[in-house]
Amino acid sequence: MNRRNFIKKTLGTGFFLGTSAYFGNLINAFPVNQSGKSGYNLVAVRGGEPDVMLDRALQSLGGISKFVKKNQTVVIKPNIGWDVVPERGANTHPTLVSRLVKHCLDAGAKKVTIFDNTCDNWKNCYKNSGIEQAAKDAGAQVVPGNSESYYQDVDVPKGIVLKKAKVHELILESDVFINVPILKSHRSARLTIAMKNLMGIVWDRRYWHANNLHQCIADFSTYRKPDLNIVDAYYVMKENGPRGVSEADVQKMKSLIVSPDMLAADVAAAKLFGMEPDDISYIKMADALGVGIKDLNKLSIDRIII
Amino acid sequence: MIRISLSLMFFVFLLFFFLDFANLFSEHLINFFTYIQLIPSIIGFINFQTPVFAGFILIILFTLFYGRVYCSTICPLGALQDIIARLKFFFRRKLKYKYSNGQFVIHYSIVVLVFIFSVLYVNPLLLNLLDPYSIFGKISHALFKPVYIFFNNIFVELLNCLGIHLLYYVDFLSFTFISFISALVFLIVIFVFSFFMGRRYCNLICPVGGLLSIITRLSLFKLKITKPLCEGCGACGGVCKAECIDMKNKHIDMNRCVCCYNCISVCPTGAIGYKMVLKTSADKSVTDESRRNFFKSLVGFYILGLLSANSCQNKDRSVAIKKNTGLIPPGERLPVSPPGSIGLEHYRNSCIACHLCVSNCPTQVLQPSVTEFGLSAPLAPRMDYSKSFCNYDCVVCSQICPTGAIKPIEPEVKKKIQIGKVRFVIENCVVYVDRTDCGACSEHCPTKAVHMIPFENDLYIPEVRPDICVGCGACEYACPTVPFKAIYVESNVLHLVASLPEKSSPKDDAGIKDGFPF
Repeated sequence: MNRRNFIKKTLGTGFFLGTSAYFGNLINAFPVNQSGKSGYNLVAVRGGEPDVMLDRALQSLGGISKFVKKNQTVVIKPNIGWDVVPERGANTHPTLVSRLVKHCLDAGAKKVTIFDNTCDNWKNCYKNSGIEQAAKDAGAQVVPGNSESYYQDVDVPKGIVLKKAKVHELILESDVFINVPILKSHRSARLTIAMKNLMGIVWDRRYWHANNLHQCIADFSTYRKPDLNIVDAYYVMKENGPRGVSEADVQKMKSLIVSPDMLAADVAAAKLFGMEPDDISYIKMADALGVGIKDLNKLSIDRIII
Repeated sequence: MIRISLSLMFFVFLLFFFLDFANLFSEHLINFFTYIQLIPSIIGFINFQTPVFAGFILIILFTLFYGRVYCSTICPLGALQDIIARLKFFFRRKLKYKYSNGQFVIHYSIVVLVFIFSVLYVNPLLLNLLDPYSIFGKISHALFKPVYIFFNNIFVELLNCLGIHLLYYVDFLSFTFISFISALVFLIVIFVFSFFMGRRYCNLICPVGGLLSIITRLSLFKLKITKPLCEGCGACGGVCKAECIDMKNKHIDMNRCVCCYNCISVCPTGAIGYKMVLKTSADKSVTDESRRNFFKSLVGFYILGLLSANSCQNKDRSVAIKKNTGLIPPGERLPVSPPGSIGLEHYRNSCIACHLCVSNCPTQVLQPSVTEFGLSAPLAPRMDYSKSFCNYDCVVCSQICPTGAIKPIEPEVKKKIQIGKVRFVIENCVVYVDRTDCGACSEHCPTKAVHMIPFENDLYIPEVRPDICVGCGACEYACPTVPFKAIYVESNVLHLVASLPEKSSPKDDAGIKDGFPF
């Protein structure tokens, strides 16, 4: 990072140096567990289009302005892992992403950025998922995640297996982090939802696969919890995940789960998919690490059917 | 001026095709410029006999009319040499050339040697090493592209610091020692020739220059000095980079002339221009009859060779298959050739390693080999699954390959081409050894030729179905085991047809009214 810092200094903006000093505090600025407050801490919506369901969910949570303040920078992490079209249910729905961008900008966000460390060729993924165009049209900046030079070393102090990771600089630089995974089948992780989606903000995923995948997913979810998790369950890939073979793998579920609690979002989404959360190792491991609330009975849930 | 701008256009466009990492240019534009590159076009035509590869006929026709127009207008290496020669301005003020005697014996011997080697023995090694377009490609890709990417990345950093993310970083994956060194050697050779001796490379070594020189002997129009107009100032000889203007006899040796037309523009009296030459009025003062006949027969031999090339080639290929495959001991991995290349034999007989596909491969899975494809195709691009994997829907390389070594295919055809088969080594697998979940291979597989089946303790372990595998290498790339992968692609010597993956049973939309299971 020396070269980068050198350039930054010579540019004399001092902008990022200032903000990076400021992050440390910001990471924990938004309490994940909002049970002390009145209102819901998990919203589940069914039966609408992605944008409509998002509007309803955010409304129920008290508006996006609860999470995004004026002049803040926002990073949105959808799942853009695969070079396939939205109907294949492998990537987050573009309509959902674009609506979210609009909400953030309406709330006064200074800048909204979007990226993913894709599995297939990143440019094709960005393009064919429809997310690049949708996000740009809505006013977001679409940022690449294709090169190691975007990623910076971080410690994962609470990690049991995963002690270090390389994380995309946008996650380190942005004030607000919104996680927008898609719910789908995944033979090795069982399901990929919110916690698994964070594999797309790190560089070296091979290490995870080689060193107890489930424990690494749980470990990393202690690192920086997203301020908000929006689980897209509109097109749900029921088998052959995470890439899928054809549209026949997909069931139209027209659902959305939104929660500031990543673990709770995963538990609810797993149930929606038709799986027992306890059958998914990383959910149990994350519970042991205190990532969030696993028992949905302890949450205040708003269930909306459109 | 027109000649220089055309030449610069070819040079700049071809250079950018080799530099570009973002696939900014359509394959049609690329094909437009590579269509009339002589050697690639001839190889393509020998292989497929379609108009797609008939550009060489245009060049030969041009040459039959006006001489070696190719050398100063279309050839990117020619333009590179001219640019290097211009560097002299920084050292000496003048570009001054002197007439030199032609070394046709050496030059034409090289042409004949290349011909025998590449057509009769179906071994493109010498073309790989000597074809100017291929040399230009190798130099551009191995030496210029890293510089281009370096500056791109610096620029990206600057923009990123300002919070602008319009451009993106690129990691240059294809730096290999061999391709770098060989390109460097090529560049040094070209530099020395062009800096000190004008277009000597074109008139001593280049097989394209040689072939066109032979054809020029039959050309209809030749540059001539009109003797009554000539004042003998010698200006033309001083600017002739082919060193082919003999001031004593006021004669231009058209066989070496690269048609740069510097002489025409520098001549104060306008004494130089094209004149029609009838074969009967052979210029006896320069060429005697026996020499002429020798060259005529050479040309005849060449054309005959070209015509019979296809049948010859097929015969030789069947021999070559046995020869080359027999050399590889069992257990050793063969290189995987890209989809569209039919098989290893076709590929190694047709690829001259210009690296245009390496430069344009969106995933950078195509990487220069060393001699994996055999000595006939050093540096030919191979599928390197340690660096990346082949995109399921992508056919870029097949669309731009100028020689037809990778023949043009459509995405739907590509999905059925099996360039290799998946092999699973359970003893290397994370799931088997560590008893933890992994499945990276199956995640990446576009056809589910690698799928996960139940294993002990609720684990899932990969199972492979080679029949629906296309050999894209995604599994091998994603596999985290070191030093040896638990899953890899075994090359198909001849590409096969993969069965299409089965679709799962379609699912009804979920019942919305059911509400939530929590």
